[in-house]
Amino acid sequence: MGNAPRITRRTLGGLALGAAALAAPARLARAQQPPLRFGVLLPMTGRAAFFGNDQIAATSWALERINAAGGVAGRRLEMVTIDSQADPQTGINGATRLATVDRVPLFFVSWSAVVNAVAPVANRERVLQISSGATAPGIARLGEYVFTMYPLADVEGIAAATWHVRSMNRRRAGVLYINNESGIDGARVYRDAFQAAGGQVVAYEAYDPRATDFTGVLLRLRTANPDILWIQGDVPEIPALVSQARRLGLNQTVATTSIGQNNRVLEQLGPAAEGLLVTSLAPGPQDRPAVGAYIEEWRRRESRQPNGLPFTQYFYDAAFVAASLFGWTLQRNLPPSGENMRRALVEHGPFDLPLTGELRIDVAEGRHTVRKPVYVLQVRDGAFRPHATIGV
Amino acid sequence: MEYVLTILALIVLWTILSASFNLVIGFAGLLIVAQPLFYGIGAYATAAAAMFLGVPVPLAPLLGILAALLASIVLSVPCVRVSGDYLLIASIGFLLAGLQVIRNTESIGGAGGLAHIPALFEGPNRTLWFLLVSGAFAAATLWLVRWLVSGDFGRAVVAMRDDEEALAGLGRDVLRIKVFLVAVSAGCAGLAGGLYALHFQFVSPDQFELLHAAMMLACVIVGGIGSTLGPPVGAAIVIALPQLITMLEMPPAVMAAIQGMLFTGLVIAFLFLRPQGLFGSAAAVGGSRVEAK
Amino acid sequence: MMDVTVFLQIAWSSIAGSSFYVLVAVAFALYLKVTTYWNFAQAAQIGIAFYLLYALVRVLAWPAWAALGATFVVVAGFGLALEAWGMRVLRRRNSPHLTYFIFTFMVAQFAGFLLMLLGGTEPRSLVASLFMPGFLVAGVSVTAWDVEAIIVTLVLLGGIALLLSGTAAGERILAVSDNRQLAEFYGISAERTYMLASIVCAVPIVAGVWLFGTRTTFLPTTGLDLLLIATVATILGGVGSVIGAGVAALALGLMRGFSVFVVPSIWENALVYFALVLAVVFLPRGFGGLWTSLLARRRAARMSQAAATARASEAA
Repeated sequence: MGNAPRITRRTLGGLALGAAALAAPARLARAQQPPLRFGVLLPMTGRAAFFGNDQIAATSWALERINAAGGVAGRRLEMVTIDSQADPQTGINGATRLATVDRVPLFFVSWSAVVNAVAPVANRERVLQISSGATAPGIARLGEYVFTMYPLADVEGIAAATWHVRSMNRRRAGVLYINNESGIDGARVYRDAFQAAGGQVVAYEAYDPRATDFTGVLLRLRTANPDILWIQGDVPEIPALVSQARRLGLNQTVATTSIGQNNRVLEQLGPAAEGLLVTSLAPGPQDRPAVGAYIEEWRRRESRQPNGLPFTQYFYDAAFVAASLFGWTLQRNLPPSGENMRRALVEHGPFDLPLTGELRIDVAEGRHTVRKPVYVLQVRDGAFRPHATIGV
Repeated sequence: MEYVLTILALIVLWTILSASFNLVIGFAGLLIVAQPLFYGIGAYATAAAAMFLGVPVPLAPLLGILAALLASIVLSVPCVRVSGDYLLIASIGFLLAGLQVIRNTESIGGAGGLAHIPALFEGPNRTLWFLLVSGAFAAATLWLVRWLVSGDFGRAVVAMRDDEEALAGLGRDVLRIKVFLVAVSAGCAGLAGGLYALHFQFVSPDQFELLHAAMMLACVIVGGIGSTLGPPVGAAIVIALPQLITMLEMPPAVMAAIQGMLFTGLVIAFLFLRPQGLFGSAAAVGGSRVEAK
Repeated sequence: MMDVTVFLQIAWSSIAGSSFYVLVAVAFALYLKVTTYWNFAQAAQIGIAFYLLYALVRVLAWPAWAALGATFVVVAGFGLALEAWGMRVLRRRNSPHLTYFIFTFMVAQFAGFLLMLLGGTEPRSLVASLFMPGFLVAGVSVTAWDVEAIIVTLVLLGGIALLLSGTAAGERILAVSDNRQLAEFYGISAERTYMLASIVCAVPIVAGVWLFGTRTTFLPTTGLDLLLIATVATILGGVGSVIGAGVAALALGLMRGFSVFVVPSIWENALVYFALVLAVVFLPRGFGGLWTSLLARRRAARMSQAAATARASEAA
């Protein structure tokens, strides 16, 4: 991550000093009040860091924008970042620290294992936990203080599978999944939805996260002769997997999750990426002009596109969710405690977010989920192009 | 305060883990590094007992101990016949295969882990209570190890490590001693796992990977291999140091790498500059006799 | 379920795809043969080799031959440094094998963290595009990479076999690995031989990393993953048999390739680990050892039969 912005926990708020916040004396007085702080618990090192660091960069840019526009009721909004390393125990330590040392009333988190592991801390310490990128279906039932603003695997898998059967007229799916938590959960959702829509899953194969040669599973898939290949995988191996599939004569449509919407995949696959379908849970520049400006900001600041664009969009918008929740409590003269942040979330109603659009969080007990449209992109001429939108 | 208590609770659990690991690797000289798996089996069995079998929560760790103990017998009975590096490699294979079995077993959460585990203590002082109870178990583990390595049995253990054939020549059943020691060690790890599950209320296979064996080794080496006082000190350093580093003003992108380099660098430095660790005897990593402190 | 083409395709892809495992296993087994230590620090050498090759080829756009040469020098130099300031010190102290394990394992971990710090955590490869167009040979898809991998592996294995059996340096290596004291008695410096073995090991390591990096993506943790397979292969091939380890790595590749037709694919990996435990318990000398003992038993049976025949004819 040589190009990633370097952000320290304590200086991050410094980035957020906005000229507008200092324009009027009243604002100045409010700006001198202690800043409002929320936590972000993401992998900044380890296997998932190339996603985590870009997500943190996105949140920090959103904070710059919020604070430049006057902050929240004139108060600066800051984030405290802690590295989860995508490891459950490191995540538990980090969440405990956010809740009891930094005393933030709200934190955003990603990676299903970490979201699961830190949920008891959030519930116990009465701190609002919002998952902004994890997809395990069980996240909907993690307790009173745990919510998600990112659609869980059922949204993406069900939408994609149903669309493959009904709109693309595919009847025989081959499912190939990475043998880890997100792969197993996601593949199961897709399989069940594909069958429920009237299709048949003719092959259902797992591969090891460390695998480099996929010939065996791919040939089993080839023997089953599916008319669509659904890959529930991870960024490091998707290029090799698709490349080997094409070479072995699997010329069927290959579709994968939003994980596949990554420029690394395009670069490493080259011409073999053509035709690849990826789903995305966030709108693209054609759907929301703000997304185009955001991508341009990445080009300007980092000379590249972010890793996992849709995930970074959600983390960008996380800062706006935090601002809205803090604003809600301040408006009612309520102290911004975890309990009040939860109350704010429950009573707030839909959020209108710059990069991901309307967000309606289902706050009913035991099904803390969100429904979002699923966007389908296809690789054409070496770039992800909009292909279809599957409604809620 | 809660944060500090949480870190202290981890140090106490890791004291149990590293003290019992030291019993096998330091005193008995058996290169078995499957301790994270026994820890994990203890955690999963405890959680499953409390969640699915209706076992009262305070009694659930007993099943954790039992399960870890049985798993150790599955490993040790066939494997302790081979020695040295072969045992090491077999135990790595056993650890990785065991984790794969956990990952592939959907009824206990599979690769995603097991959530909603009931807690041993509830309320505002839960971590303090947990600390007191697990601290008592850690003290008991240290006492157990000290008791086992002293007296006639302890002399047999050290003699077995130094010259197994000579001990067998004296009519002692070496195999039985080995299986017994591995079982005791695994039982302690199972207890630590059970306590962990009932406090942190979530377990996943990623928490019991081979890397954790390296961390346990680090606790043992830094504290002093073959010493009874070393493991708590080693555990305190290995667990607390990364947390202290997070207090420093450092870019987060480099923090974990620096943490990792510090803990591995610390072990390498100890191996060369103070091979006996903080509390071990100088001979411990020199291949000769280790005294119980 | 499986026709001849499928069988040949899996066999071919598994053989080519095993090339880097074979090379790493050979390096691991060779060091073990000479020194009797399991050198997990070779994972550090693997990591260094990859990130250096990446910097030279992808960033500085050096030609492959120059990058490979420079990487070999650095990786061999690292091996020598490890020997001089690490292993030799432990040998002088007469440290038990546990200490070597801890030391080499921690060096591997340390290097992993250092490479993470320097090279980041993104999956990287040594080529811009991993897509390899294939050509069909009797229905089997073959790529230029497959051919290159097999040729490189065969040439290097042949070279190492030649070095060990046909040169003075190889004789020194074999002499020290057979009996260090006796070799030293005859004036062969064991320490120098260990250094020589470190240099030789750097060749298959760098070549293996090159093949790996031109086929798939590499992460800072990949070194230990590769070495784990090398360890299993070394046990299966029989400790002391360098070629046995290579053959076992190939067999493991084939087993993994074909296993999906026998067991559910989620168990493919566990199969390797179970094989490792079973091999240690039942075949601590590996299949190579099993083969040797079978041959020895047959020879003994033949000799006792010959002796019995001789006794019978004498009695007559």
